[in-house]
Formats: sequence, structure tokens, C-alpha cells
Amino acid sequence: MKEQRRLPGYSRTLLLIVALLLPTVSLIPLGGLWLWQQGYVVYWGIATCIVVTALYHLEKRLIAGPTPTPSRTEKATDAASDAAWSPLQSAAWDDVMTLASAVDAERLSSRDAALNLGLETIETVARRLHPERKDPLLQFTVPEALAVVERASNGLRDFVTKTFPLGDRITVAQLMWVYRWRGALNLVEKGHDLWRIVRLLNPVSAATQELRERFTRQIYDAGREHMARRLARAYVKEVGRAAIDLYGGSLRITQAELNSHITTNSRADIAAAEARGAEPIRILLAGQTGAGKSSLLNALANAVEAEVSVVPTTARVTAYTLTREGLPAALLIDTPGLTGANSFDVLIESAAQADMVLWVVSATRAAREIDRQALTAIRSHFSAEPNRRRPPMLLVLSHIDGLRPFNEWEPPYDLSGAAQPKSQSIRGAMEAASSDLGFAAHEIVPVRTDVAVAPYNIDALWARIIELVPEAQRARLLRTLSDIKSASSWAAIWSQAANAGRVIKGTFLSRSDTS
Amino acid sequence: MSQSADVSAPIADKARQFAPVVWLVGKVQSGKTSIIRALTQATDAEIGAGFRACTRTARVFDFPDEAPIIRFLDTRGLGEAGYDPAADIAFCEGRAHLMLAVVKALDSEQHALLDVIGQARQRYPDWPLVVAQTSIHEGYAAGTGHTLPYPFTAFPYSDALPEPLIKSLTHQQMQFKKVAGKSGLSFVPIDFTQPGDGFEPIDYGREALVSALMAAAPVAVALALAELPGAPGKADARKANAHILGFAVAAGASDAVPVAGVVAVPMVQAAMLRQLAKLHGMQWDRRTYAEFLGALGASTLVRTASTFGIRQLVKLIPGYGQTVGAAAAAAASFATTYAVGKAATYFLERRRRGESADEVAAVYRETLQNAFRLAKKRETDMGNAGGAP
Repeated sequence: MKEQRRLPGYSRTLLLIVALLLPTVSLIPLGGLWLWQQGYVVYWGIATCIVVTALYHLEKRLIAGPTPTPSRTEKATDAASDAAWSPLQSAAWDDVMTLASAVDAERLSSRDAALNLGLETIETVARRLHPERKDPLLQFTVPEALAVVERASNGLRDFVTKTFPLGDRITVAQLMWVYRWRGALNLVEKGHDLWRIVRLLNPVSAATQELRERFTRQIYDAGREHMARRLARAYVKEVGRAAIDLYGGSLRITQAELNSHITTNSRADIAAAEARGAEPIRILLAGQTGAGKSSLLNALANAVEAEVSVVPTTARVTAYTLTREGLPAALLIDTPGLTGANSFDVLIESAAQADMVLWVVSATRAAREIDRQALTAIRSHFSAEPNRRRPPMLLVLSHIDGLRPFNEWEPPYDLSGAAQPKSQSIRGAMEAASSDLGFAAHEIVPVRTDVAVAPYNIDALWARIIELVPEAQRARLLRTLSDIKSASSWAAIWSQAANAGRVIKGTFLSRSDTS
Repeated sequence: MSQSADVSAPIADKARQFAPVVWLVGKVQSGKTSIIRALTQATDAEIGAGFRACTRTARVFDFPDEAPIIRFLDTRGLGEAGYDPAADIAFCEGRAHLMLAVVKALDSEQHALLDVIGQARQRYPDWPLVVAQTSIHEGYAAGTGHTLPYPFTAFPYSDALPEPLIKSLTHQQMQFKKVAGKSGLSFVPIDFTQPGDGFEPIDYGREALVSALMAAAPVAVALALAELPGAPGKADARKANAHILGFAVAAGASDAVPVAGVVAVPMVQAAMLRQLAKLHGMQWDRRTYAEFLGALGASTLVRTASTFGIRQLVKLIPGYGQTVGAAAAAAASFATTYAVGKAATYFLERRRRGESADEVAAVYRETLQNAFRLAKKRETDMGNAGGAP
């Protein structure tokens, strides 16, 4: 329905663009014709190649990190996948690992073989991440393709420097210089220029070919077969890793980095930058009416923020800011109590926007069918969205003071020894709640939240929350990412075009500064 | 003893057909079992073992097991996806019954329960409903015990009671009134705890609950409730009462069918006597049996025996016999069985204490009078409830 309504607007804009661009675009074939008629084609080709090479070199110098990050070297050689990836991306990484372990050194013996291996890796990833597309290979944008060249080069360079004989002596800059010089010879002697131009139309194949040409020579000079195999593996992994980021959409964040000339590629830094950014961690409070969500909120905020009563009080989803040492900017989101399957929609929507969930159940109420149903709904919501990471969940067991023996409250209670009858009751209630609702033993925190006496065990809950912050941040990264993706529209595309213009402008300005 | 095995199942079946139903609706662990325990004085283990599957979503506990006089229907599906109370409502249709909703006093999440009550009331607006509000100690300030005497008989509740408790009780009551209307609806705050929980008495509000149930219930339910061991009255007699009523109902039911009564009623009575002796920790042997019969008096026995014969003949008269005769025979069987049971209890008790049992005949005659009145009350009530299957 939405598409149909927007279609006339699209067509009108398209017509407008065509009308505006046609005069300019028509100059390209006409100019080409003129060059050909005047016999200047060869000179133009040479000039273009020089400019492109110069720009590429310039960009490499400005954007590539001067010092390789050690963690990335490890990742290039190790099987460790990236913690910030979604389950689907992790699955793609497993595919890449399978491919890498089976790879043969012969695959790097010729240019075409290396190109095919790179393409095979990329395609493996693309098919996993975009199984619904007929042409998964094309599911990325040009800035992303440039970023993948950058990333794969960087990763491989680290690997070579650390692993190869004399690798630390031969700098990448030297290799690249030698390679470019040779490329320039080819350009003149064999008329290789046209091939290069055509090749540039497909950035991925250009990337893989560049990589291969840069390194095969050194390997075969060294004549070490197993080294070649290791490099082939590293090559598959690096291309695969970059491709996962490419197809997973993570590189759209990197584009923002490119704009601001941040020189590191590591996603750990992206995550750190995220943490400093505007989007807070969203912590959802959910559970039955009267389970103690609002009083837990007050205990966590250490102030009376929400109204607490024995009768239902929280009528709608309400957010409160939460500040605590060791905790990044966070919002605590209080929800109305579960009242039946009809209230699940609001809850799932809230959970989809959350980075951590605190599920509150009363220790004294055994009827948890509705909690079980709601949790199942949330879990299946996230398993149906492999591009999202399920927010970490904690089960908060409230009202433990109401357990047997009644009228006894002498904290602290030792839950491991469980010598006291109250400790036994608390432990029993924890076990019952965990088996009812599918939580592991370490995911349950028993608390007393009411304000009449000092809240109990809130510090332990805080400790668990802060432990889960890194996981929540990863969930937030993917949530923000999917939010950006879903917001794509004409406006977004125009702004991307404007950003791309800024990159080019920024590059030129920097160049004039340094030279 | 082999004889008892033969007749026990049909006797229980007969009694079960006529036993009124208390339909317990409430969330898991809201205190339903505690209520059954307080009313029947059965142990938790007995109750747990006594439950049998009944409808798809409910189970039933018959009490007493040998000849049930009351059935507790426990709906378990409450709150599960797609629970439809229709089957449980249907189970209660056509027999005397009472809805007993059980809620924890401090649990304000009662949508599923209110939904069921609303559906039942919509179909049968006059079905009596008692709401038990349990575990009221959860609303007490730390360290305080129950308020004595029981303060929840007067409304509005006293200001001296804890404020959150009063607020929550009133909120729940308003919600129930909204879905169920105000007629035939009563609320009883109770707290049935375990010994050692620190609350005295452990069955706080039991009498208020029993009287609320008796006031709300149809006659048949009230009669059964009055005979339950948990009912107010003499502790000694209470234990046996439920059994006597059960066997008497079974005897009356056996006699509603022509001729069959000749065989069935004495067998039911024999089974009852065995059960009563068991309750008193005794056994019938030839000597005690002879003593009991002697105490009951030869004249009584002769009269009973001759009326049996006449009643069976009356029942054979076409048309007249099968309606009037059957009804009269059923009432007589019910009454004599009931009276024999009471007399036997008296006899067994006196004997256990080593006292003479001279008054047995007097007890029998006195009880027989009451039993006929009881039978008549049950009969009119069954008629109102639309008859039993």
C-alpha cells in the first residue's frame, strides 16, 4: 500500500533528475567521441591512470592506520569471530572458516585462481547473509566496497609483517611502490590501461586482484609452500571478514569514520565511540502487575521516581534516566504489568527496542504461565530476526521477604550454604522460577525492593547489570544499525550522496595541507 | 471383606452422582488446597493423592472417598493460552454447586480469573459466588500477627487494619463486582498457614468462610458443608458425619430404581457400618454386631424390615409406584441409613470409651425424624437444581 502511494512521487523525482542530468551526461559519449577523433585517447588514458593511482595512494596514506592493531593480527590468524556480530554474521564466519581450513596453496598460484578464491569467499558470505536475494554479490554500496578494500589490505599487511620471513624488513609501502612501478610499466608496454579501467568498475575483483598481485610474488620468491598455504588461509579469512562486514552493513558505520578521518578500523573502537554517542543503553523492566517493577526502579534509581502501590499503577511504558558509576548512559524503561496475551504486542515492541531486560517475578506467586508465554514470545521474536542480537536478560526475584519463615528478616542470607530456613526458601524459589521461565542459575538475582526497609541485594543486581553492559552494548550496536537501515529513504540517499561529496572534498583539502 | 470390594465402587458412584460441586477457580498456589484441607481436615498428601482428572482443564477431589458428599472441582488451566471454561461450566450444570474463587489478597493481577467468572456469570447470572482472599499476612507490617477477633465481618473494614491490605482487598472486591454483579457475591479474607509460620490461629477466618459458603450455597451444598469435618460443631461427631451422609445418599439413590433397592440398601448400610468402625479404630465381630442390634432394639429392626417389603411392593404398582413410591422409598432409605449411621456412631463411641450404649435406640429414633426432614429438603433442592443424572 505504502509503495503504491509513493510511486508517483518517485517517478516525478526520477523524471526531474533525468531532465537535469541528461545535458551533462550526454557530454560523456560526445567527449569520448571527440577524444577518439582527435587521437587523444591514449594520452587521456595515461592521464586518468596517473590521477587514479595518485588518488588511491593518497587515500591509502591518509586513511590507513599507521600502526596495525595487535588484536586484528590475532583475528586474522585465529578462529575468533567478532563478538559484535549478529548470529547470522557468526554463521557466515563459520562458513568462511570451513572454506579457509580446506583451502589449498595452489589457489594463490595464479592471478585468476586467487581472484576466484576471493570471489568464492565473498560469495559464500553473501549467500549466507542475503539468502533471499538472487544476486547477493551486489548487495553493497560503493563506499562499502572501498572500505572493504581498505580493511582486507590492512588485515593482510599485518599478517605478512608478523608472519613472513623478512616481512618486517620489507614495508608495505615498498611493496606497493614496486607493484605500482611494475603496473606503470605494464600500462605503457602492454596497453594494460584499458583492462585496469574496466577492472575498476568492479571494486571487489579489483580488490582481490590487487591483493594477490601484491603478495604472490614475494611468496613464490621465498618458495615456502606452507607459508603460501597460511597466506591463502589468511587471505580467505580477511576477505571473508571484510565481506561479512560488507554484507552485514557494519561498514555503513565505518563510512561515518571515513568522514571524520578516524584512522583505526577496529570495531572495538566503533563500539567505544558508540558508547560515547547519543544512543543510551535501554534497560527494560517487565513482569506481572504487582511483581515489583516500579519499586525495583526506585531502588535502582535510589529515589522515588515511580509510584508504587498494591494496586496497578503503571499504565503505560515510561522511561527514566539511570546514572551509575561504570554504567554508560542508560534509560530504565518501566512497562505496565502483563495482563494477558493482548498485552504482548506492546511488550515485544519494547523488548525489540531494548538492550537489556530485567524480568521481575514475585517469589511468593507461583502462577507464572503468563510470564512464560511472554518470554517465549520475546525469544521467538529475536530468533526470527537473525540480524539482531537478543538483549541479555536477568530474572529479578522480588518479595523474597514474603517467603517462609514469614516475619523473619535478618539479612544477609548466605544462599550457597543455605543453613538458615529462609535461605533455603529463597534458594527453592530461585530454582522454581528458573525452571519455570528458562533462566540459568547465574541469571537470577533475589532482591527485596520495598522502600519501607532498606532494599536488599540491589548491589548484587547492580554488579550483574554492569557485567552485562558489554553484551548490552553489542545488542545496541545491532539495534542502532537496523534502525539506520530501516530509515533509508530518498532523504537518506541524498544525505549519503552529500557525505560522499564531503569525503572527496576532505581528501583534497588534507592533501593541500600536508603538501 | 470380598463383599465390600464388590459394592464399594457402585456405592461411591451413586453418592458421586448426587454430590454437590464446589468449583474452585484461582491461580496456581493461590490457596485452593489449603481451603479443601481446612474444610475436610484431610492432609495435603491425602488431597494430593485424591485428585483425579476430570475435564481437560480441571481435576476433582471427592470427599469422603468411599461415598462422596461433596466434590471439589479444581480448575488448573487458568491463565494458560486458550483456556476455555465451557467444559468446567458444563460440569457444574445440572447439579447443585457453588463457585469459590480463590485469590491472593495482595495479587492484583487477576485478569484470567475475572474473565472466567465473567463468562460463567454471563451464562448463569444467579450462580452463587464466594471470593476467598487468601494470604492476607502479606499485607501486614513486619512482625505483626492476625487481628483478633476476626475483623472482616463488618464493612467498611476497620481503619486499624494495615492500609495496603485494605486497599488491595477493596480493589479486588471492586473488580469482582464489576464482572460478576453484586448479587449472590460475598468476600472472605482468610489466611490458612502452617504450624510454625508464626501466625495464630493457623486457620484464620475458617469459620467466616464456612458460614459465607453455607449462606451462599444451595441447600444440598450447605447440607454437605454442615457434615464436613471442618464444620463448626462437636469434634468427635464431625469425622463420621460426612461418611454417614454419603452412604445415606447412596442408599437413597439405590432405592430410586424399582426392586434393586431390596438388595442394595442393606449392602450400602453394611458398607457404612464397616467404614464407621474403621474410623473409630474398631472392627465388627459377631459379638459387637449382635450387641448393636440388641441395643437398637428388636422392634426397630422388625419395623424397618417390614417397611422395606411394603415399599418394594408399592414401587411395582405401574405409574403410581414408579414416581411416588420410588420417591418415598428413596427418602425412607436415605433416612434409615442416615439414622442407622448416627446410631452406630453413638454406639461405637460409647463402646470405645467402655461405657454402656443404652441410648442407641433413642438416638436412632431421634435422628430418623431429622433425617426425613433432611431428605425432603434435599429433594426440593435437587428439583430446583434441575435434577441429577
